[in-house]
Amino acid sequence: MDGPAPAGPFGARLPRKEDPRLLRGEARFLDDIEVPPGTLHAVFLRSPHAHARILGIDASGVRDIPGALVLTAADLPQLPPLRPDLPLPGFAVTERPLLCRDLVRFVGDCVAIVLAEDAYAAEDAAELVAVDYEPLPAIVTLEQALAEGAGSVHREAPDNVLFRNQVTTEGFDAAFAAAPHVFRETFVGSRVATVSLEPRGCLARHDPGLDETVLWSSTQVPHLVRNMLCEVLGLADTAVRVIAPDVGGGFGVKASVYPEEILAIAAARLLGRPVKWAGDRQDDFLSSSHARDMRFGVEMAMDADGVLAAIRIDVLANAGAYGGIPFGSSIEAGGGPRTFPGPYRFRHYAFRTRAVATHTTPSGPYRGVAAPIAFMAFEGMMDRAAAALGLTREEIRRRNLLDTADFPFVNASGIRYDIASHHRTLTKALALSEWEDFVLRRDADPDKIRGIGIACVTEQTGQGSTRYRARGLLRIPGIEAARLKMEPSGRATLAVSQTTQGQGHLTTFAQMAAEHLGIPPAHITVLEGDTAVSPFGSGTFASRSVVAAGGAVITAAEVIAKKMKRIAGHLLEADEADIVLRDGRAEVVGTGLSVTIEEVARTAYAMRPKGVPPGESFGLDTTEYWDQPFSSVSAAVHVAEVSIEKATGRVKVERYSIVHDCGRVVNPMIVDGQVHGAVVQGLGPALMERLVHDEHGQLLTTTLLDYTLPTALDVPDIAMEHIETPALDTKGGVKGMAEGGTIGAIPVLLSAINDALRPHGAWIHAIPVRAEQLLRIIRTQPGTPEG
Amino acid sequence: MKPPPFRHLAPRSIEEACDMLAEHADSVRVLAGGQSLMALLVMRMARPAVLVDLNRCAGLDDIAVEGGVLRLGAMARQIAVQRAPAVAQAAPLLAEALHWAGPRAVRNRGTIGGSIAHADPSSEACCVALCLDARVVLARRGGSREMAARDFFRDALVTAAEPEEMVTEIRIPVLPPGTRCAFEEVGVRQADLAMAGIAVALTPAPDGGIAALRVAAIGAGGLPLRLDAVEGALRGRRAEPGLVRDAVRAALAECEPPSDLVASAAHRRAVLEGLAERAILRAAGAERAAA
Repeated sequence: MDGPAPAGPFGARLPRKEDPRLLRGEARFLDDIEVPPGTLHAVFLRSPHAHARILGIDASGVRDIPGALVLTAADLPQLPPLRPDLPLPGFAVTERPLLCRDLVRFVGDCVAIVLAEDAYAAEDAAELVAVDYEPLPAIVTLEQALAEGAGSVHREAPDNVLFRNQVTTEGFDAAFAAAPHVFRETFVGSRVATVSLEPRGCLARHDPGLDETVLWSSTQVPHLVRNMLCEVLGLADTAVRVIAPDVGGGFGVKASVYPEEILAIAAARLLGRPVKWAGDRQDDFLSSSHARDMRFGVEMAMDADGVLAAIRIDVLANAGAYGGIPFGSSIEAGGGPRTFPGPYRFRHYAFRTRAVATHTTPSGPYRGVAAPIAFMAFEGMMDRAAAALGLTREEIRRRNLLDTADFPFVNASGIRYDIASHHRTLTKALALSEWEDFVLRRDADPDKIRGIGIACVTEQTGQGSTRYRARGLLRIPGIEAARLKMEPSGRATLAVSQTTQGQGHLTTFAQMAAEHLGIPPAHITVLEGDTAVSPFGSGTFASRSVVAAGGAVITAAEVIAKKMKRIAGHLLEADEADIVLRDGRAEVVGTGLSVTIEEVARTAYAMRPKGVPPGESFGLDTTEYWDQPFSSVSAAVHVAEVSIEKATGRVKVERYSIVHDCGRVVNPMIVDGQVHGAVVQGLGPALMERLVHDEHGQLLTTTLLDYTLPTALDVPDIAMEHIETPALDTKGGVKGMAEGGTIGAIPVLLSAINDALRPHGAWIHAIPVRAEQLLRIIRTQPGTPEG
Repeated sequence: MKPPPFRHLAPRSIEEACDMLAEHADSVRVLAGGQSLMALLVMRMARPAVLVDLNRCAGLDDIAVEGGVLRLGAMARQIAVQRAPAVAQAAPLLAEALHWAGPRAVRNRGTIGGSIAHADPSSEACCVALCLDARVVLARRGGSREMAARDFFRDALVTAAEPEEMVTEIRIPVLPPGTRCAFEEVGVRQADLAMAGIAVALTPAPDGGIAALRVAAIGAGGLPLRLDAVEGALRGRRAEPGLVRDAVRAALAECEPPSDLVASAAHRRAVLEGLAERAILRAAGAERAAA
């Protein structure tokens, strides 16, 4: 940590309020909720073909299973298709049927809902539904989708491009042409699954007497789910309640609204019985959004000193069969070029980007979205340029990193950076990692080759309504809200328009509010994840919580604190401006005169001899909305050291260091945990995770045996230091930070591997980097080990 | 991922279990530790009408050395086998290999007999059984038979056991005095299913050469295999790196490793070369000696 230990709750390393019940097994995830009597258990019958015509569905066989029944598109004729993308420039407007009627477009597309008295019987029944398919040729890869005569996934997008954008900054061509050096390479990401520990699932109940529809869903976005239920099913938002119970991980995959959520409600309303669906791991691999099947073609122009002159990139993202809700098909293709400029100072930028439809599972947001691949491309080019120009990797970065004098800075893709500490962060990271001494460690083990890598990354966090409108995502309000209610006891409830999947909101938001209210965080109960309790907002994604919802929390705390000071001033016959709230008391500065916060609160609720000041309203209760005007951009430098075993090609991450600047840190323990987890979610895709389809579009990796996630044994200790440069554009000086670990890990591991391979004259530009590939390089390109 | 309906039978004795197997032989599976079979059931890749669950069956978990043979009851948990003094004394290779058999929670439930009966291509227990010339005891109503592990394993997930038979015991001859063992394994992850693995038992001659050598490999074929050619080439010789490397290369050149999502045949062969060389040289050193 930089600087002295914090005096108040803001900045304290407080244990998480949510942990005891999670650790004791007392949490209630979707599958722990006691189902109402009469609940039907659902299985979604999914297409086994990537592309096929449905010739007929014969569900008569399920008669053998007592109580089982089947709903197809024909049983729910009033259900309209989803329209993920809006009619805006660059978008092709396509449709996604909730249940496929004529055509299936990926292995996992829903064809029918099979319902039975328990989940076992539902699976038995699902086996008895005979669907007659006529398989059609499948488009699986980006190359296939863009090839001449490829055919189309959607009629409305004959060239399979669902979203396109192209920008060239003024003066680009001249700057590019004038540069003495141009480096070119194409970087290829691996298609990955998010694999939250708890798969998706939901429980739908309709009470016709109350005309109340309730959906419990393992989601990151209860309000957006409610909005979609209303939009698609024509329900009044006052009659629909969505509750996210404890959610076992989201990471972006549960930030989308899925057909199963809407279909569960539709079935519950049609049948008059509650409907439960607890998705399993195969459901999850097949139907939860995939991510990062992307490629970045980069042309980087530099002057003779290694200073960036102009960059042109060509981005492709495999969007899968449909756009998602609410992020549409542009999530990755739009995000790639937007995040690409990173911490570097260059103004001449040209990009073309396309989201491409294929007959595969829809893509969606996953921790860092496109940024890990964008920085893998940018940082990969910086390493190549440094090698070509005879500069060290740290020096070429120093020559291009934004410096203090540059801020505020608006980058080439229009993102504003208020303040950052890139040079200090880099210097500190080099020291923390003992970068200079690596030469002594490089050849320490004769059975291994070793390399060290560096990555300077930024993370765009806390986007508000302006950003979402600019991206054409009108289903995302971008605002957040907090309702702070202090009770007569002087304790408070804080209902936030968000939901938590492990981020520690119950602790962090309490710390943020406590700083203003003068009560301990333990006296603030944070409520989230229930549209009947939480004020309206967007949800938990894109590292928005601490910035966007935090802004609302701080505003609400300020409003209540002000009112408490007015009441305390009235009680103490002092000027409200002289009142401070701390340690459970309202005191008049420098006098020793004070009154308890409880006394103030009881006065506010007319429970004390003296009333509220004349003209003051009763209560200590407010709802405040916050719209973050600019993104807030965090930054980090990652340094990784890897070894590659000469006999097997196996990579081991030997050392890992991060220096991180996300503005003021609310709870360092939570921030450290977030970064650790994010690094692991980068290590996996860099070294081992990949979803594999065969040529027919069949997903071959649908279990955790085939889809290899790293275990604790694959993860190194992570050394981490924080620099706290208070943000200027946010409430409280905070910045979001949940994704940067992933964004840094992928480029830095590739950088370290390429460093190890330098004596062998090879550059790898695709992930995951597999032992097989490394062993082949080591054996067939012996090179000069002395370099 | 829910199993189709099945009938669950829980015999208390081997005789009772054999009766049940005989009665339901047309569609029956034996449930031991459940670490493989349960996964197959929930994915509906195995659909027996009847499960004969041995977890309450008496007399199946003894571990003892008798008459020069290590006898392992089929239901002995992997963790128990790994830690048994009798195993450390008679077949330390098995203890070393079982360390790789999965995370602790899996080894707490998984059984030695279950591993052998399942005949998974990546099974450490099967590889060691082949390496150490283990014999598999099969019981059926009214009798039992015993066969060499080499004959018991037929193909990936296929064995010589008849539906009405169950594995009751694994018998491993106690290693000759002075025998040294080594086990090496590699997967995609630090702890993973074996993509390639090598088991070695080497008995040195008084002159420092190799009196006897047994080598088995995971990933050299569709099943764990004995590398007879390596054994033949090195018997009576000294374990020198060049010689070992040549013998290993020649033997692996004759194998047909599988190609799959985890690794190509060429990669498996390349990795096995390195592992086998390392394991044989390690066993030829003085690191691990059977008592």
